[in-house]
Amino acid sequence: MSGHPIVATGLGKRYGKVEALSGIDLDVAAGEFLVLLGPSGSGKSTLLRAIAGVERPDSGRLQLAGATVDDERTHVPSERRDLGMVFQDYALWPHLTVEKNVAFALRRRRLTGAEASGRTREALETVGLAELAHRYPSDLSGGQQQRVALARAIVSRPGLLLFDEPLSNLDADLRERLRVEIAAVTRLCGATAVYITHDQSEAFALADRIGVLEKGRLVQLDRPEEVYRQPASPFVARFTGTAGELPGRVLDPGGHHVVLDVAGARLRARALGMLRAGDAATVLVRPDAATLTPVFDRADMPAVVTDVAYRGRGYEHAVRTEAGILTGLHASTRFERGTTLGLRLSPDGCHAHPVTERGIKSDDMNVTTVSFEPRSEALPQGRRPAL
Amino acid sequence: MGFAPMLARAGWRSAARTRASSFRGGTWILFWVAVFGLLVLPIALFLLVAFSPALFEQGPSWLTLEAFKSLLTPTFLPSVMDTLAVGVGAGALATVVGGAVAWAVQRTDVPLRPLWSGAMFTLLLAPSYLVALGWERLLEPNGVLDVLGVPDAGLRSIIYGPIGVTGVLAVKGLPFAYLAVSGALRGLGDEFTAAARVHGGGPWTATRITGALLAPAVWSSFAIVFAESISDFGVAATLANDAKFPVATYTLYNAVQAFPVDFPVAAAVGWVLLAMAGLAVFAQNRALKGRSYRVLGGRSRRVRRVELGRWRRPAVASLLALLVIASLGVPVFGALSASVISGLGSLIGSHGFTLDNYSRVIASPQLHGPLLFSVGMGAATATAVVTLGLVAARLLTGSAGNFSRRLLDLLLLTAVALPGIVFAAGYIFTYNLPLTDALGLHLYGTPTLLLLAYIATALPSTTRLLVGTVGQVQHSLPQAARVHGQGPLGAWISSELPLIARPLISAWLLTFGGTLLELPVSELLYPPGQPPVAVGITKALSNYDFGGGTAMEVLAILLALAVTGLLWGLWALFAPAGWRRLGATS
Amino acid sequence: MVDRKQTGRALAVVAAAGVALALAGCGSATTAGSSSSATSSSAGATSGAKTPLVVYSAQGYDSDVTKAFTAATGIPVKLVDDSTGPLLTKVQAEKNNPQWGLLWVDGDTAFASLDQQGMLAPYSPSTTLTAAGQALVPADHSYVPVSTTVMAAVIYNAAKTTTVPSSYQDLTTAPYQGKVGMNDPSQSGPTFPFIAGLMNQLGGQSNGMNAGEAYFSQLKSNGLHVYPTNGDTLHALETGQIDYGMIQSSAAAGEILKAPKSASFDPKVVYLPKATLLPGVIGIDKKAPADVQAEARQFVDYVLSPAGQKIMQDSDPQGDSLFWPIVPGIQASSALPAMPEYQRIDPTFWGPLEGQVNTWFDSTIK
Repeated sequence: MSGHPIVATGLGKRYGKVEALSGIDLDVAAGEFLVLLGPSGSGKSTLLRAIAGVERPDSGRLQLAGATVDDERTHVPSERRDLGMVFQDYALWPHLTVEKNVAFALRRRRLTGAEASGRTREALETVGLAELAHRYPSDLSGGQQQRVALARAIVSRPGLLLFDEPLSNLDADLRERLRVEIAAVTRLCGATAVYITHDQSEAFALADRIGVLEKGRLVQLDRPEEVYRQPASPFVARFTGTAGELPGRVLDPGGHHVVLDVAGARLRARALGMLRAGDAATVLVRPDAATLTPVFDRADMPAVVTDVAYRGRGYEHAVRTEAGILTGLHASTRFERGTTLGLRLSPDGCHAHPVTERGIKSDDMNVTTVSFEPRSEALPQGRRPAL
Repeated sequence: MGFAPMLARAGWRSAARTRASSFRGGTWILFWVAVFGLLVLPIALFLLVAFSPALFEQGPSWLTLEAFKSLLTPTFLPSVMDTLAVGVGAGALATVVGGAVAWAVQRTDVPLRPLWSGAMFTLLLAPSYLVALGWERLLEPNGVLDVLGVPDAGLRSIIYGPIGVTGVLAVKGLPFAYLAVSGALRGLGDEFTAAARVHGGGPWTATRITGALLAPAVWSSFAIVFAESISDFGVAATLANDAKFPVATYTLYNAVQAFPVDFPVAAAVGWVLLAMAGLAVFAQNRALKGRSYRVLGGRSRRVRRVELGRWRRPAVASLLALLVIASLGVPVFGALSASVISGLGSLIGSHGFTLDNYSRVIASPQLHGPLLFSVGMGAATATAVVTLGLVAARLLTGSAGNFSRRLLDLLLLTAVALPGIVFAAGYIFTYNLPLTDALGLHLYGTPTLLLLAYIATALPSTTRLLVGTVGQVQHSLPQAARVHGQGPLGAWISSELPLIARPLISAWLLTFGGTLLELPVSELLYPPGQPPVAVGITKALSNYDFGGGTAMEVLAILLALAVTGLLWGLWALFAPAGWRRLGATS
Repeated sequence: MVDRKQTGRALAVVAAAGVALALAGCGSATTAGSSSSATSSSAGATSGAKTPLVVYSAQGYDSDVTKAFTAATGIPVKLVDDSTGPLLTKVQAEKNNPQWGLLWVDGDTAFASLDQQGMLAPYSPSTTLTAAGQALVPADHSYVPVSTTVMAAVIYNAAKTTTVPSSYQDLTTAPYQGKVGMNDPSQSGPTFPFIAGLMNQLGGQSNGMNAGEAYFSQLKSNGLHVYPTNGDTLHALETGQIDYGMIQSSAAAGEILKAPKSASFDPKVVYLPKATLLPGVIGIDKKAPADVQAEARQFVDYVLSPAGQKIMQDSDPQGDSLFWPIVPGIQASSALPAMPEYQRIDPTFWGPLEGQVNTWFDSTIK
């Protein structure tokens, strides 16, 4: 079966005073793998659940496979949307065996018994669990349980697969393996996929396109490479991985790159927002934009190594500069703690944006804070994309 | 892992919002209309009489505080204190003991586990009249223990007083505590305690963590036993009859027993009981701060039983046996001594064992009709109550801190805290108005009203039991069913019903058994010419036919047990393996 | 697909439950109809559609009497057979819309109170009662006494004691210390009339309360035991906890008939002067429709007729049938002695004191 295209127009959803989704416009092509990325409370779950039909939007329109499933008058229930979904907590029915859990999703297809068991078996083989068909979920490990959930989602060959942070409850090793499996299985099915996560490495690895959500708005929708290279806002830049932030002052806003003075050093960076000469600005630095050299001249910024970690393919360093601290800087050789090095920053990996009196300027200050979930992950300063 | 409860909570909060929106508005309106008619109106109208006796021609004033003034006697305040003490004592004792039994049965390898859980269940069917009677027969001067030469004077002075009253009420509440806590324990994986121990906590810390996770169930059981106990009069009147232990309900019963019946004073006492129930709800809310943990989810693992070891295994079993003998053996003995031993249960002189009472009662047409009628009413009540209770439990476990949840919680507990006779009188006030007659609604004196009153009587406790389980089912399970192609009803049946089937059957059986022997509401509301079996029993007892009355009672209990056995038998035979597997442990 | 089967089965369960509920609802309506027609079926053919008479009764023989009444008159009866307490609670709670046609319980104090609240339709049957019966008839004929018991009969265990009291004062003396038991007035209906009767006897209406309280205080200091009801007091007597019990005459006579005699138990009854009359009384609901009131009057006439009296005496031979008839020419059961020396207390005076006296008893004597 080929995938369903998804078209959302002006989709909105409020919970009391909290605007969980506002004016979402989205166009997902058939067979595309879309990852929705955002911190807790950004609305990505709500959007996914709206697509699933578990949640009904207050405004806007949603079309699946060309048919309107949600608008002011219409609300097509989940069961008639031809979906498969993998839940964060797996949501396997504890009273059914693995086989029956998977076969459950086939009921709507009205197949004969033989067909159904054949398909179930096939789905279980796809996820490598055929020999556990008669076990109950509670007898399986977490990874196995999530594989069953995956098999259940794909068994009826739906036009749309939804993933609600399916890997967040698994340990790192398993995550990586299951991520690969999800990518393979989904593409094998040909279904359109919408996958939500707050982990940018997962997003970059899986997505054909990434949609970044912030406070209920879709702030960027693009290919992973573009999201990384040309973040639409400081928020997107931060959420997709930075080594750190350095304060500076704009010397020359013109040209391809803006030129800044950062702790006495001249730095070139891409401009995020309007910058004029003399403006205070912050430079967001991608980890891969930095090069550390033991031999340096006046063009380089001096940096003292504060931490070094062996990462197999090389070393990751944390350094202190006069302007601030940068972490996660890769080098193929090891520099000992306390060593002073030269730091060279590639302009395309640096994003400068203006600073207001209230701190960092966000592109929509009027949006109320989403307060019902912890926001501790909103600014993952130390994260970097494991590309 | 220490964050597990917090995460669970966050997930549950956002999910609850979805639930509220997806559960249809019409259902809620219907539910509240039912609750209003079943509980709010009868209770409110009864309580109104305290201020406005003229409302139902119970006095001349339209607005007065006379009834409350009449409570300002030097004896009433101490009786309120006694009642509070009994309520707290019985609630705490039942919860601790019931919780311990639940832990032993659910979480250890103690032998004869089906026996212990069966005993807890049977206990619910034992009327407190039989419990009190059993203790009396054992301990009274020249009673069984005296005849057997066991010195019992010390025990007698303990049981024939406040401690005995508290104890008997706690025994009565034991099944509630057991069911509430074991429901919660069943869904609770090892990982929480394991996490505590891994992070350096000793067994005590682990227990505290489990305790915190069980807190909703524990408070639920405490509150309901408390409410049941403060509304009791029979046990105090029997066991502490001459022990100078006045309880608040004495004033109420005296007001209703003397003639003319003083409903305003009874209603004033009702307000006092209501205030106490409110106190319990307040304490519960303070303690829980709206917490609730969803632990019965799609990610599950089987629970390992604690191995008690060579010495502790028989020790725990003996303790359980002792408890069962004391709590269940005594009323069984009471019933047997009254129904099988000739001559009012006297153990002196030429008494002998006889089954005359049984053959007489079994042959009597006075038993058949009423028993059949009560069985029908019990089945209908249980079915309706389980249905309504499920909806109520969903509301109670839905969005925390919301107004309607608190209102319902308080309402249900109030209904438990008010004695049945008050409740029944409220039903007469409400459904025997000239107005309703004029509208052509003749409910009073019909089996329908009796059924409604039975439903209202059983709803609070059943709902409390169901809350424990329903609150544990994670919303993603039915959602997953919806997403994978099931309609709302299909999703519920395929993914939620199996998880709660066992507790639903328990709740059904409890309601059935309770209704079969319900007395106060039956007495005041039964349709003319159609007495329920409890009325027949009481009639026999009050006509000094102890043997016949008790034999009828024993037969009714046996019938309830037979139905229980039948249902569980059918469950074992026909329920799908996966359903039966839930709640089981390896 | 086993799953589908499961769903099917679950659906069946839900459906069955729903059907059961619906049936219960419908069933209740139909059974209500059929029960009334059952009692009236014998008469249905001859009498056409008569309004059923709703009888609230606590008498052990009420079922037989109502059936015989229906057979004799063709008037259908709906019987609410319950203990006195719940019946009176019902009557009081129904006050603004009474459902009963006729109330038949022991004790005239409740009826006096109903009369004072204007709830009774007066009736004076043509039957002339015995002297005791006439003493019980209220001046306004608001209710009709139809039989009587007395309170209290002193039942004692002749196998354990030969000392027999001859007055209530005797019970406060040394030989009776710790051996006397009685019922708790807040749990036993007939016990308040007994206490009120003693008060009336000891100090009349003017000083009865004080004199009576003094007497019961004496009894208490002589070791009085208080048990909830007649049955409990009898049980205490049988098990030797007490040797003397003050209970209702019908319960005492019944015990003598029922209890197996042995070397250690030989119950006998003595009546102390004076015994207080505790009549079986019928009252008619003033708010009932006129045709129902007429039926109720027919019922009273039937109860006072030889046929009615015979059924009352035969129906519950070890219990409520043990009353003294107040209709001339009817003999009391052979199990009863001659009527003892009695007094009648004014129910309009003593009735309203019940709550007060019971509370005093509860806090001081128990």
